[in-house]
Amino acid sequence: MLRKDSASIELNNAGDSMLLKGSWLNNQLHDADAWYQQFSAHHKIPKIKTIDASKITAMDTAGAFLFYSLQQKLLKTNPAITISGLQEKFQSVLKVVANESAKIEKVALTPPHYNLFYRVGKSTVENYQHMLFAFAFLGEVFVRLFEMITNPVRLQLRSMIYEIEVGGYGALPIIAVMMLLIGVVVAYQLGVQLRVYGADVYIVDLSGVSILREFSPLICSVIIAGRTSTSFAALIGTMKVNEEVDALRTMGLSPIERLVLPKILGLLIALPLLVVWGDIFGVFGSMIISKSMIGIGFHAFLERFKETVAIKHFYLGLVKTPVFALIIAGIGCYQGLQASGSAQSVGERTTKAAVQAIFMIILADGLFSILFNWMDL
Amino acid sequence: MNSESIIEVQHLKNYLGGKWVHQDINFSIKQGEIVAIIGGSGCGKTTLLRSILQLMTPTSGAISVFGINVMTANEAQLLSVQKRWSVMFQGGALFSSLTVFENVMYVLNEYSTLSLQAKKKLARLKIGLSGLEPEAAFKYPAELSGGMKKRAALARAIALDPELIFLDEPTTGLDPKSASDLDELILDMRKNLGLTFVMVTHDLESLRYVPDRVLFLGEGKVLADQTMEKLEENKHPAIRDYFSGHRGKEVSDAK
Repeated sequence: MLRKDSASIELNNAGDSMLLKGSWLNNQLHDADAWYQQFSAHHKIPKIKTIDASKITAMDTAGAFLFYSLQQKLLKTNPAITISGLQEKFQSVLKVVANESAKIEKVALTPPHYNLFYRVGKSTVENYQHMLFAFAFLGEVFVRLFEMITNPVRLQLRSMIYEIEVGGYGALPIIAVMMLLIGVVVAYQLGVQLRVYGADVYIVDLSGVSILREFSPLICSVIIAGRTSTSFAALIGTMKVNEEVDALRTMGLSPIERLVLPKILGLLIALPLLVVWGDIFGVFGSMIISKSMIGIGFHAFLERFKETVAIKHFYLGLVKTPVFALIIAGIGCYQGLQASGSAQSVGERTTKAAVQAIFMIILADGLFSILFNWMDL
Repeated sequence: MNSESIIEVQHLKNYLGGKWVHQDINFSIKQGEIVAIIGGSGCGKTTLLRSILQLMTPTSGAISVFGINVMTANEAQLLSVQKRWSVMFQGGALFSSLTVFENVMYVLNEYSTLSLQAKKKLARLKIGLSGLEPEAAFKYPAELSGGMKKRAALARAIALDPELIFLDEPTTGLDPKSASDLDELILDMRKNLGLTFVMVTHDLESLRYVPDRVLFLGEGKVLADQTMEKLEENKHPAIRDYFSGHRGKEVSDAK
């Protein structure tokens, strides 16, 4: 069934007759096509009187298209060209292709091309609209949240618990491992420096404060941003593309209330708990280093920890987490709702969710530092 | 094996989700035929299609396409078959991040040996052949109406001049005019290009007009393999039941 004779074009010695041979099928056309490209690149196309097509054994639309192109080219030099021997069944293919090609040639079609001003203008308008959408989103979240507070029956308890399980409980192992390593790294670096001054024992104060106050909230939030923000964006984005979000709207249900709020509330509960979990493992990591490097036993470490690390550092670390949770869940859901039409846009939105969430977390952490400094905390 | 048959399915069995979807499916399809596969919901039409297309591995049986047993074929053999068939999926399955033109070009770029210039013209030709306006070529699938999506999917399906085309519910969700146009298009392509079509459809109008034969699936077997006219007279209870709704009756009465 698979034909091996590829299509070819030959000129006779006199140069006035053309012989077409072989199977003019899509995957057999390369020689004939190369010949045709070369032939039509000549400035002066020889005057051909006859085309002998009797040796063509098969033809599909691609072959017919090449045949048609050749014929059109030759007709320009000799309008009285004769084609002989083309089999009946191929003539119908050729006719279909010729009709369609004639139609296409009438409309010169180029992909739309936009100049710089158009593109700058377009992206300005789009960014402005995105800003408005972001405000509208934030506004609707707070309106729905307020409604929910006044009428707690509307709380989607099941989906909220599901979010806590997937986004919180599911993240316990990764948070534990990451914070343990952070604790080890921090304590090790501190230990090396402190030993120079003979102030070994301050490792407890320093690592304790830095982990409780900065590392644990920040690292946990960044991990959760990478883990949960993207999953929210991909989930809601796919739902948007599948018109599931529109389906909710037509049922008179708010997608914000059904989809977004359970995620935000779930993370508001899960993230502070994860940070506490991270605190434990971070401190445990520094305990290991303190013991192995400096020789401060677990008992002595905890004794000093209780004395010198004020509880306020723990609280200051935790105070930031609801804001981080809001950033992570809010940006994830917002980006998801912005997806439109294509699989690509879901991908883009997911990337944006991760990048923006991490950026905003670090920005917010910086602002908190300034605020706490200003408040003398 | 009959040398003329393009598809040969023998003793196909499929066990899915705790029940036998197919118990013993046998049929063959010859070159240049248009065959429709019908049957009530859940009778395994999609499973059959997916089995033939090797999107899933059947429990047992033999499926040969173009004389190659696709179930035991190695990668190279399977690829040679895959280059000769194409599928128009129900929802179009167009690549949503590419324009219609790029969708068609995608397959051409992958498997055609033509020059870029020729491929571009050919892609536009295929878009024209499938009945789309030239302006639609640079639109993204999300910007197309349902009917245009089907046409764009068809344009991509015929890009490589396949010998065998599978159509999954080609006319579903189309307005009567577009559906009739598509029917005509399928018949034209068979007449002019000698293509073979396998279609899964529920559209009775198009079932009466387009296919040469209809395979009725039910009870895990091919219950009937005959022309639509004869099928509508068939006394088998499952087939009677299939046509018993008011739609089925109206079509029979219209004759």
